[in-house]
Amino acid sequence: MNINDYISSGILEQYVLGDTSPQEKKEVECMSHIYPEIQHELANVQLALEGLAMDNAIEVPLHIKKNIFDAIDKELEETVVVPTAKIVSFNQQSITENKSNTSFNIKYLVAASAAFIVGVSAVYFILNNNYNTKQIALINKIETLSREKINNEQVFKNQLASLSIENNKPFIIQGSAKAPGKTVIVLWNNKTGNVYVNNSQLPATPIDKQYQLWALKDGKPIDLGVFDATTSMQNMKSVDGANSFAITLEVKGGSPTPHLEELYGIVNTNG
Amino acid sequence: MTNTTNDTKIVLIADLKAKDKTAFENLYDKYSGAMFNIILRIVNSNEVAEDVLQDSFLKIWKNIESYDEGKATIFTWMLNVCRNTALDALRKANVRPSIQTEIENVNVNSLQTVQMNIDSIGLKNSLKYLTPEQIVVIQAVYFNGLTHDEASKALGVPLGTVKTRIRNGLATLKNVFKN
Repeated sequence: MNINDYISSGILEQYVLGDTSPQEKKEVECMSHIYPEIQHELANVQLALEGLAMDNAIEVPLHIKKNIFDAIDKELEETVVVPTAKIVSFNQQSITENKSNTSFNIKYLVAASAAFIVGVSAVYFILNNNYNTKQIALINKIETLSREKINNEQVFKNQLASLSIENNKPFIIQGSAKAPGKTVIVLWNNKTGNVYVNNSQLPATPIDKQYQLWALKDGKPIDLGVFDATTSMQNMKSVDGANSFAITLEVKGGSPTPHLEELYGIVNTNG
Repeated sequence: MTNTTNDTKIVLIADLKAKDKTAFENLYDKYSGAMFNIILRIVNSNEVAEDVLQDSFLKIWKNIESYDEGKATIFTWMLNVCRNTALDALRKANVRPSIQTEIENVNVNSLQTVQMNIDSIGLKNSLKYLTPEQIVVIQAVYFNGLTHDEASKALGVPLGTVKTRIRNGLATLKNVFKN
C-alpha cells in the first residue's frame, strides 16, 4: 500500500472524527503503528481539529460545571466510603480505639486459626492416610504380580527345559472305537518323569465326566491325573517308568482305578 | 499543576487516570468551551446541549481508564465522547443530524455570503483561512456531526470531493495552528 495514497484517502480525518467502521479503525491504528509518516499525519490532523475547536470555543454556563463536580464529589464519597468501612470494622477501629474488642478479635482469630489448622491437618491426615493405604495396596499388588511373573517364567523355563527334544519322547495315542481317528499326544520325559498331555482331539465329555490318563507299569495302573477334551500342554503327574499310557473316561476328578470298558486309547512305550 | 490561562494548563493523563479531581477540573476548564460549541451545533438547542455536555464530562470522568494515549490525543478522545453523546441525544429525540439552516442556504460560490454566515454562526478566526467550500464541508462533518457520507448527500457533492475538501482545509489549519 502506498502510504501517501493512504494518507490522502481522507481516512485519517474520518478516524479522528469517529467516522470509521471498526475494521477501518483497527486498520488506522495498526498503520499508524507501523508507519511514522501516518502517525505524524494523524497527529497533525488531530492538532488541526483541536485548534479549530479551541478557536471556536464558546462560554459554558457556570451551573454546568457545578452540576458535573457535584456528581463527581458524590461518586467519590461513595467509592471512598465502602472500602474505609470495611477496613475500619476489622483493623483500625478495633486496634486503635477499642482494646477489649481487639483482644476479643485476637482471641477469635487465634481460635479460628487453630480450628482452621486442626481442620486442615485432619483433612491432610485423612487424605494422606488414604493415599498411603492406596499406595501400599498398589505396591503389594505390583509385588504380587512380579512374583507371579517370576514364578510363571520359572514354570515356563522348566517346561521348556523338560520339553527339549533330547529329553522328551512323544507318544501318539490313537483313539479307540469310542473315538475313532482321534489322537492325543503324550510327552514323557524319561529323565525327570514329567508327563504332558498335548493337543487332545478327544470328543467332548458329559459335564460330570473327565478323561483320565494312566501309566501301566508291570501290569499295574498308575493314575497320572485328569484332563479335558480339548486340553493342550497340560502337566500331569510324573511317573518313573511306564510300559504304556492309557486314557479312560471317568467321573469328574478321576477314579482310583481305570474302568477299562471306557478305554479311549492306549499306546505302548516300548515301541 | 500550574494555573496560568485555561489554554496553557498542563493536564497530565496519569493524574486523570488516578482520578485526581484537580486534574479533571483543569481538563474541564480547558476543553469545555470547545466541546460545548461542537455539541451545540449538533443538537441545535441550548438546553439539550447543556445536558449533553454534562453527560459527556461525567462519561469522560468515569471512563478515563479506557482512554489509550497511544491511539489518540485526549482532545480527540473527548471529542468522540461528546459527539457520540450528542448524536445519541438526537437519536433519542428522533432527529437526524442536519446541516444548520444558515449554512444549508449558503451559495458556496459567493464568498461574501459565506463570510456573512460564518460570522452569524460564530465561526471565526482560523476559518478565514479556508475556502468557502472547505468551510461548508468541515462545518457539516465537524460541527454538525454528519458522517462523510451524509455530508456528501446533504451537500450534493461526491464523497471524494467531501474528503478532499476536508483534507485540504485541515492541511491549511495545521499550518495556522503550528504558528
